[in-house]
Amino acid sequence: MSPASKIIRLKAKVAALFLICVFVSYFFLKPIFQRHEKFSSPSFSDSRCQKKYQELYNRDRIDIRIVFGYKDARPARFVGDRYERALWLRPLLADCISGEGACGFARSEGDDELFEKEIAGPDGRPRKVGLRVLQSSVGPDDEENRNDPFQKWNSERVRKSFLEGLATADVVFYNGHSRNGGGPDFQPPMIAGNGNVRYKRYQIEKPGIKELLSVLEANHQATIKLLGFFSCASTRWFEKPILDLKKGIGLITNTQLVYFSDALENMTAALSALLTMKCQPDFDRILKGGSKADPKSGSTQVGIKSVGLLN
Amino acid sequence: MLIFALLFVAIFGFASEPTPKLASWLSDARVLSGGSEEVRKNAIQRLKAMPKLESSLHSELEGKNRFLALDVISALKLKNFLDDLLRLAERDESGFFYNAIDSMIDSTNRERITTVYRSRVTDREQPWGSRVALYDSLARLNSILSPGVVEQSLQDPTPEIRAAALHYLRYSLLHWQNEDYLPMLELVLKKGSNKLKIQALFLISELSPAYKRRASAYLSSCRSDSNSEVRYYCLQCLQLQK
Repeated sequence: MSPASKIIRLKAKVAALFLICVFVSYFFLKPIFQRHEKFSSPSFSDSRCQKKYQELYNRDRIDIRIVFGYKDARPARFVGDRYERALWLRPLLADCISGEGACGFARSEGDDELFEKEIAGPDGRPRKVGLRVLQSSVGPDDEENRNDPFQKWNSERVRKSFLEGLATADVVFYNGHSRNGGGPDFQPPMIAGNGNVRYKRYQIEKPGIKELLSVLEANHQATIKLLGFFSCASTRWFEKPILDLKKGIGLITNTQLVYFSDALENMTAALSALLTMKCQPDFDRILKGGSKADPKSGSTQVGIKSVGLLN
Repeated sequence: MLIFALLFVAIFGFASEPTPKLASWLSDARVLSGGSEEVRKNAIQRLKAMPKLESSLHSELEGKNRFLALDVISALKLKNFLDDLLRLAERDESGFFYNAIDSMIDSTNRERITTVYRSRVTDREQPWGSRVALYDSLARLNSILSPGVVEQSLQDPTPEIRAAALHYLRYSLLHWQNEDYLPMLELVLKKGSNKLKIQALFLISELSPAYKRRASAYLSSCRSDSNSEVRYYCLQCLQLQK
């Protein structure tokens, strides 16, 4: 073998060795870098915002409840919250793209409705986030559900979990019907003979919000810091009575009617902003970005409003 | 010259206002549900009168406004979209494509759609949201699946599929009086999650007296279940037998 070809073979060996080293170190170091990214402490430009997040993340385990109300389409028989929950969960169970928070969750073993992941808290210490995602309906047909005793059981279970969350959870989001101020609602609606929802009755009796307010009033030691209503005109129906009662609470509401997919997007955006610990201007920007008017399609902006969370 | 032309396109082409037609179909689509019947009727009339609506809907079916496009297709019963919807439904994560297809079913396409649904409901490659919708649709279509298929889904790794299969079982036992499905309740009561067991126990409470008597043999395992709520509803079912 000539010296020239020996040198070429040596160079090839060195190059191959180098490539193997790069390959091996990539696989060994990748999880370490990922873990570092996962547990890197967020930086805060605003000390008040940092304090708010320290309060929100003051427990080792953060309890977030996402409760889908009974999403009937009366006078049609269709009920959609089972499908909406499936659609909403999809990105949550997917891998995270850098900078996103509403992702990377895994279903808990032994609890089908609980989804968990670990993040770094505002102090850099790891926190476990437990996301309980509940749906109200048991089937897609309101006529069937009304006659199904399992529907009654499930509606009651979901209602209880929502109300319990107001006292013991850190964050509660409701995605459902506002029922003209009579919501939140987890059961088949009160309907008239023609199949239309009895909105007047909901508006006068206000069963859902009354119950919510009584729970908030009774629980002075409540741990809840943020309440979100991803439902039609929830600012109008729910903001004032809640803020009159609980001044310090963070509240996310919709100023106008909201289409279901916009409500889902907004809820994802709010969760993501919360888990990546965004302060108020960024939080609002992310929220609105989820459903901002698209100049090409001309879709209307969903007026989403957040108050009191981070300032 | 070319640069000026490109600049012109960039400034006036991309920054132009939305076309009123596209904007208006979207705003009409938004009021098809959630509003009054009169609002819906007026929106449908305006949508029907819109020129080139179908081409706008076609271009949106895979985009951000796909759910609004589906609402319009359903409300207007645009059956020429059926092939596209069946194709796109395969990747649908929500089940809403199947709901739109359901709204188009008539005597001419019922068999074809049912055949597609039956083949996809067992396909584990399908997103689970879609498989839930497929179970719901097959129940509505009175399409009887073999007990083996339902049994497999009752043991699917995804809890939502298991619950949908049990909901289908409810249809088969209450509406079709199909006793072949009855033994599957035993499987659920032995191996299901607590919630699934309770779903099965409520179903047993709804059965006809003859089926209830047969199902009482399945209650032996849940009488001593570790979950108190399962035990409670199990004993309630046993009380009903007496």
